[in-house]
Amino acid sequence: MKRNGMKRAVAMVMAMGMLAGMTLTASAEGRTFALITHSTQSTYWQTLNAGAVAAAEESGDEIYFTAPVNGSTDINGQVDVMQTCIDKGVDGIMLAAADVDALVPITETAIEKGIPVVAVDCGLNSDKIISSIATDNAGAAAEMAKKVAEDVGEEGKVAVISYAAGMQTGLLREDGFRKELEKYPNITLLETQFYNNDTQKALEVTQNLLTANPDLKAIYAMNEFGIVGACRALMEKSIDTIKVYGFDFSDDVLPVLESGICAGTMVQKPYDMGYMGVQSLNAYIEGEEIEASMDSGCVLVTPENYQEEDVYKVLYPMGE
Amino acid sequence: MIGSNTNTFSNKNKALSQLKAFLPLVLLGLVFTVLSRNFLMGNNLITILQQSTNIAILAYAETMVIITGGIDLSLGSILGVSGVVVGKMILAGVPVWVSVLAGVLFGGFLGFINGFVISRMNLIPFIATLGMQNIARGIAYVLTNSLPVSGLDEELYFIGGGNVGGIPVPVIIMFVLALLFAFIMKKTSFGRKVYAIGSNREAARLSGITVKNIEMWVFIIGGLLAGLVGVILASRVLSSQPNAGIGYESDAIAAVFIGGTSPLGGSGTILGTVIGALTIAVLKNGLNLLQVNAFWQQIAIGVVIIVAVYVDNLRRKK
Amino acid sequence: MKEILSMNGIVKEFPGVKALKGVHLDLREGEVHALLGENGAGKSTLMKILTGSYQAEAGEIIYFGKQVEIDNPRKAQEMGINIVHQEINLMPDLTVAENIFVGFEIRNKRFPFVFDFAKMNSQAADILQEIGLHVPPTTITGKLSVAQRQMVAIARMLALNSKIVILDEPTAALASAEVDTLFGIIDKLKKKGIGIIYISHRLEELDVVADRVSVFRDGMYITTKEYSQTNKEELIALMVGRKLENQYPDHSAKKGKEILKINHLRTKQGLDVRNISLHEGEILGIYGLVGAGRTEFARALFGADRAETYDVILRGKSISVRNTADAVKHGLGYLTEDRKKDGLALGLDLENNISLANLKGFSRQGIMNTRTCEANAEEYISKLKIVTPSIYQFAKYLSGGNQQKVIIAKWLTRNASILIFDEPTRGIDVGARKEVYELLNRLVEAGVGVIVISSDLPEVIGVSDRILVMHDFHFTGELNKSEVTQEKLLKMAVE
Repeated sequence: MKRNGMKRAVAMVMAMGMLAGMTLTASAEGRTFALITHSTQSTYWQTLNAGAVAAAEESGDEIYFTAPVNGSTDINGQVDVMQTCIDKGVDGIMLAAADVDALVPITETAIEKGIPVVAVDCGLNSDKIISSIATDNAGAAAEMAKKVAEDVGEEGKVAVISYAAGMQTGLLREDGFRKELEKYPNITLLETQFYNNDTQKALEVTQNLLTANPDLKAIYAMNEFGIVGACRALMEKSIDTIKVYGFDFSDDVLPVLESGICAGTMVQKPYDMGYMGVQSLNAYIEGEEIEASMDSGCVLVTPENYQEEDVYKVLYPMGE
Repeated sequence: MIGSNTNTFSNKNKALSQLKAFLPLVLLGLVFTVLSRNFLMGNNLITILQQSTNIAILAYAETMVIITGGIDLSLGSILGVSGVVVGKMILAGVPVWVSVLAGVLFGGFLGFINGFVISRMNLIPFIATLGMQNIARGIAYVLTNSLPVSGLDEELYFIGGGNVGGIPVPVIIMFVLALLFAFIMKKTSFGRKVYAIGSNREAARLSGITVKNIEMWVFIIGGLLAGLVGVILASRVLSSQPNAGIGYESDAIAAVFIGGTSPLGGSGTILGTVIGALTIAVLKNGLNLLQVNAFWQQIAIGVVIIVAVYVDNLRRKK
Repeated sequence: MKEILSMNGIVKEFPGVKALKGVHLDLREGEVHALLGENGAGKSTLMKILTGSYQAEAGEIIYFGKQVEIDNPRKAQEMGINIVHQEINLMPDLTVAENIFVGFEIRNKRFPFVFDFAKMNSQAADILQEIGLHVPPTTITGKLSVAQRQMVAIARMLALNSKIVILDEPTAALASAEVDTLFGIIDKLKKKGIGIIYISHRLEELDVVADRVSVFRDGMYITTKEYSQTNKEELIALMVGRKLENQYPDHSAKKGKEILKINHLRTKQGLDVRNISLHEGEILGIYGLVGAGRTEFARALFGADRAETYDVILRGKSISVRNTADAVKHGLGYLTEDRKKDGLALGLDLENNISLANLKGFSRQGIMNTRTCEANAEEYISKLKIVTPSIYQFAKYLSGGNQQKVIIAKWLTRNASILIFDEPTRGIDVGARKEVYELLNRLVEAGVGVIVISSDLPEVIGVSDRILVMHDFHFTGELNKSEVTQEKLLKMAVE
């Protein structure tokens, strides 16, 4: 009798232990969120991922970071990637849409299947997404325009170079800039030239701009590749009277910032975007209310302030 | 005997027909000079030369390869990965000039693999170099995790961004290499073998020429030159971009054909290739100065290729 | 016999050249009319006009009594005029029946865009039966032998209800048994009333098959004769414009010591050759029918193909040859069967071609001494009497005979000590052939070892001092000049 009782007691303890373990692991077993961007190949997107991963670690979730192979202009590729994530059955998606209209159908499909979607970096023309977390590109561009206007003494020629036509982020940054400068009748804005997201091409385009417009006063570039290419073209010719302004940051921008040829770049906070994205998804899944749009903010980095501590943190949120 | 043509072309007329290749270039130049007051400025002409160096240097290698009847689609990728190798080595503390040498040799090594696969394993050049195009680019991305290799030593700047007496260093390199390769093609037994293989591979082999070795060498040279261009590009921005050089081989091949080399192999000159590279650069530069949309530039280059090769075909038929 | 075709006063001009200067040709029902003339006489130009590929500048064509214009090849075929080219133009991936009917396919009665394969196959089978080609009509053409493909081409003539069939060098690639079969088919065609224009250089065959013969020379019509009323010498004289004495000149060299001894030469393809020797002062001929392995032998000896066993002694020393570079280094030279395919770089100039085997000799540290190359080329142009405006002329513009001389110059430049000639006079007209034979003599007189491979029986007999016969990748016999006859050689070649 006693032996049977012992066996039963051991069995019960083991069973309870297993149950407890199962429930514990159940709650420790996190969600998988997909982060779909334009490409995995720049500091910017990798930083965004880092922010998301940091938030995910805190909540015990996992991030699946992916993008279409052919880069930011591959809209169909991004749709395919979305489909794959839907098929995988992820718990939520953060999407940096290659096109704010073309990605709507697949996004709404995901939402219908019960996968919440947060738009990051740029918006999405659908009211079914739970939130949109981005830099206020238009507002930041206007702020940059004000600085440019001030630096050139409110008169003169300014060139605009962009990475690719038709990209929403680029358009927002360009339109915001041009609109603001309309207020200054003595500033002439040149037609936009494109550099295909290639630093070398930006260099060549800038060379030609200089030839065609020897009285150029400033150059405004839509992202870090443009800034670096334009600055290098100027440095090659030892021109220090023309300054370059733009958006985004990478290790290549550091030397041109140091030299002062790049007089200002709007640095976004992709880290925060990613972090906030994961938080929003978790909040939504757990039934909380979240805001429809959030501004992740940005900082105007200049040769004067880039070494300050809090500015540095924005440049290198993950340490160097 | 019937058929004693008195009008047949011979090699002596080569010089004359070469001058004809200058025509589209001169024509474009005139058009742009009229349309844009900034075109003919000394500054801009130097810029044009500068903008043609990358394509020209790659095109020397493509000229040789195409004359032997092959093609090399991997030069842009080899360029990129060589630049990455140079950058990584400099960051690791290796002296700049050693790193540069290593990068160029690495390019040559990849060219050697191309040559080996083609001449010893009998894969056709199109397929073999298509494979290498992907492999080399992939290696570049893997080595860098897709990020640029930044913060390279200032000492590297001279080769890509420096100048001697006002002439940019890459332009000097372009011309020196042009003279070197023109000499090789015209005046060395290697050059003769290249032409012979392209004209009739089997006849060359049956004349005692070791065809496989020559084929190997033209691809090695391609890799070395691509490595050199990779160095120049990295030097200009003091950063090695893993996506540097994408599509450059297409422009190089276009330059070769615009310059009059036959796509069937067996004929072509370095001078023609230089003209072809300059033509493309003039076209891009001129359209840029006129603020023409970049995409129209691409259409224009495509049209020039077709027209140039068509005109060349007419010339040959006579 | 009824006259079915008459071409009169045909003139054809190309820029700078008058290819046909007002020629005449007529053809009777059921006759074989041979067309003779040296290369360049205008035979193929006239045939191109007859088959619609060219248009004449002047002249008329009367076909079955009516004047006609043959605007294009399709029209010629619809009219019943067809040609079997030397390089039989069939599509190797299609079936026999498809090739027979290509362009004139039998269509389904109700749906004219659908082909009626059943009908085509059955009609093809009937025709094949008639001409004696025993293969199913559904056989893939590429799998047939050259002779069989020729029969398919002729089957097409019948299927298309041809009234005129032009045969261009039909026996060039056939073995003698196959030639007999061909003549049998020609007989059948004649009985159907089909007129046949027969172009060939092989005068011996015309003896058997031709009814009449017309001779062209330099774009001019010379004459037409009943074949029975003329002979070979007369025809050659008419073709050449002068009496050719002594087609095969003698040489004055005497047989000396052995310079090449092949102990054993063996390849994976089945070539197995033992105990062959070549002496100074003798021209060694190698005879055999198509497929006997003569070219394979030459290529294996020259290192162009890999040999499993290569036991060869050259001037007393054993040599190793694994590739063409080795062979050239040891002083071997090889003149290929097909100049255009692998003999010359047609796109390069003469000087380049002549220097091609001796690049090392003309260069120092890899840099070419152009002046020496040019002087050398000039020397050979005069020594070998090569007709060309300059050494910079592209090789493709030279006539066949001159091209052959350029290749000879290439090997002499290299100081080759043993030359292997594979079909040395192929595609070269009668006048130029003699020059080649004289060159062979001068070579052997100068101490160069000369091997001549030829499928032209009279040529190999006329030129060689000693003849080896090949059959099925082996040497089957040997005959000296004194004891050789055509019958003996043929016998050895077939056994």
